[in-house]
Amino acid sequence: MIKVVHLTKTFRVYQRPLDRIKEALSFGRKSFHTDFTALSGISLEVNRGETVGLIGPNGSGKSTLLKIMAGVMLPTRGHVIREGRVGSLIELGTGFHPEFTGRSNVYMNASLMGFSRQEIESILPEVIEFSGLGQFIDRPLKTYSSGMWVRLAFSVAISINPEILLIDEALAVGDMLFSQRCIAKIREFQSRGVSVILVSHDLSAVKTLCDRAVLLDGGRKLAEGPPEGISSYYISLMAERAASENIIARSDKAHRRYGSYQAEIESVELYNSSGQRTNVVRSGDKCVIEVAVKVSRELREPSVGILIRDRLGNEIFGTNTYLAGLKISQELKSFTVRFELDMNLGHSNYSITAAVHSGRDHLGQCYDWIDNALAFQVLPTSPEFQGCARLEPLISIVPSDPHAVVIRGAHEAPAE
Amino acid sequence: MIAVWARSLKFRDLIWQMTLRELRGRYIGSSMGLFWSVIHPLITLTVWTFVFSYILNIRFSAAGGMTDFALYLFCGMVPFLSFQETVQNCTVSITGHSSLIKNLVFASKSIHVSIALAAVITELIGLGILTLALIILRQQFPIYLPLVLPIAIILMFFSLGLGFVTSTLHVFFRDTAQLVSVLLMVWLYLTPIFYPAHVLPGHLQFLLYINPLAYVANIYRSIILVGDLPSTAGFLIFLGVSLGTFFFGYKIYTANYPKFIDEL
Repeated sequence: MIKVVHLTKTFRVYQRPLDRIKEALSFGRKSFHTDFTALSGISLEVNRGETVGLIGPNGSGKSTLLKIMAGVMLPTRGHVIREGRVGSLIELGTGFHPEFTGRSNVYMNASLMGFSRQEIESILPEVIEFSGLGQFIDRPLKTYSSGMWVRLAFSVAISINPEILLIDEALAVGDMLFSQRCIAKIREFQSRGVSVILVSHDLSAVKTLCDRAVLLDGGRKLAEGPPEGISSYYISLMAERAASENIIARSDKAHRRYGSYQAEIESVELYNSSGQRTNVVRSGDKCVIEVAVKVSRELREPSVGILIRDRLGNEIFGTNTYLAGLKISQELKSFTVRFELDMNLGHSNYSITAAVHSGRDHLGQCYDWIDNALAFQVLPTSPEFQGCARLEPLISIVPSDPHAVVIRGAHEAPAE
Repeated sequence: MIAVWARSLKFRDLIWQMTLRELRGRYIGSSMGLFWSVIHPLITLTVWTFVFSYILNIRFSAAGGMTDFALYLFCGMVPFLSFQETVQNCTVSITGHSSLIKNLVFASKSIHVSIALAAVITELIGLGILTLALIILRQQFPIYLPLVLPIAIILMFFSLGLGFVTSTLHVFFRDTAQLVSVLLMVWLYLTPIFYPAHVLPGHLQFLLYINPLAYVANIYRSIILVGDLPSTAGFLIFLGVSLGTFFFGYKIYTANYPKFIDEL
């Protein structure tokens, strides 16, 4: 059981190092800092065997809360009650040294967690076994792949048999097989009555693993309840925020823009199925991408197009008005091109590049090209799938015996 | 005192791991490894003997003989280097191990203790080489040598006390490390290591009485080179000052520790 009561945490922020000296020398008569409140009045209780997910945007105080729960950081006000041994996967492999062998690093890491030599010797075989490193355990860490590094760190971290387990995004690292192993291990802990607190941006992980979710924003607890509901609340909150931001900032160096500017792209927007401007959509949602164009000089056979890229920059899908067989009239000086589509993409981050050019592609005459004009995220919906293309197959099981009944299952999302 | 020792005993495995790492970490990857910590002082003493006694031919009237200045210098240098190493490494220990402080609940003072132990071990190697040199060059064995051990341990407490204070300061003021290294250099030259104590002008003689390192350098020499035993009164004052410094540093450190993580 772990419980926090009315936690408040403020940090002192000094503009320059000199300000701190000035303040120290004034012996409390003058203040040269500003206070930053990372958490204000948070209360939370996690019972034995319960798993709670902490979600919220960056800087909402999730990690600070976790660190206070772990006892690494002290709260400014409020207190923490812990019953049982705390294990924290806040940062894996703390104190790992690349020049030493895996075995030597296990000794060091485990001693830091408070293990005696005998205890380390007794858990060592289990750690080596779980990490699956085999012979590599006696090679220097610098020869490890990053996956092996993480595997070793995780194996040590879980070997302490905690009664309270704090996890910060640790599951996001490592390959898929390893993530599955971690999840299996967490489930094992859950069944043994361990209280688990999980900080994650991965809403699907929160939904599958947690009994309850807590939404933090700006250091305050916005909502607490079933993971499904809290996740939806979080998504709508983020969508609202995104809508209030101006998407195309010309000064932003992150966009690469070029062209003759005879026509200019005024805006690129993404709307979800209910017509709200957003940059978070669910896989399979009916969406609209709008590109607004203003023409300043005469164009030859203008065409407006979009290109969706994944987070690695791979082209996922691109189309334009020319390819669609649409002709844009020369008389139009200001117009919007709407691309209505089903967002049949997998759970990941994507970007939209928009362009106005002449004819089939931008290689001939390009009027305006904005690289990554809009970034957006696709969230998973059930049924989940792997990869970036939502192919929606009809899956059936056909028994070898021709007289048996054929069982069919459509790969369609249940009505929501 | 007892409580501090009891805690240290509880963390002895951790401290020992960290001390080993502190020592091995310096030479890791090199083929001769820890052997380098023997080679370094050995070469230093050889070079000093060559330069000061053979080329410059510096002698002190108090103690004759070809090799004396090098031995004299080395004898004062060994404890000072141990002190310097401890204070300097402790100063940056918290900022250098910030990921440990930020992510783990553990006895952070183990870092300081392991640094000090590593410095004492390095010092013991230096003393071993000094003994070897005495046997070879003077055909004499310093019979009172084991008596410097308690002095070395007490000096370790003094160094640790300062190390606790400087490491605390360095978390809040990152200029501390630079300041400490400059002050240690000044300290080195104000301690009679390169020169005998009696050459200090009369109005500067007080420096000898307020500087524990001057006492240590002097005691090392009289125990190892001359074979004289330290006076009880001087020893007790040194013990008192060192333990006082240790507890002062310890208090400063523990009082400020909760604020560290906010600054790292």
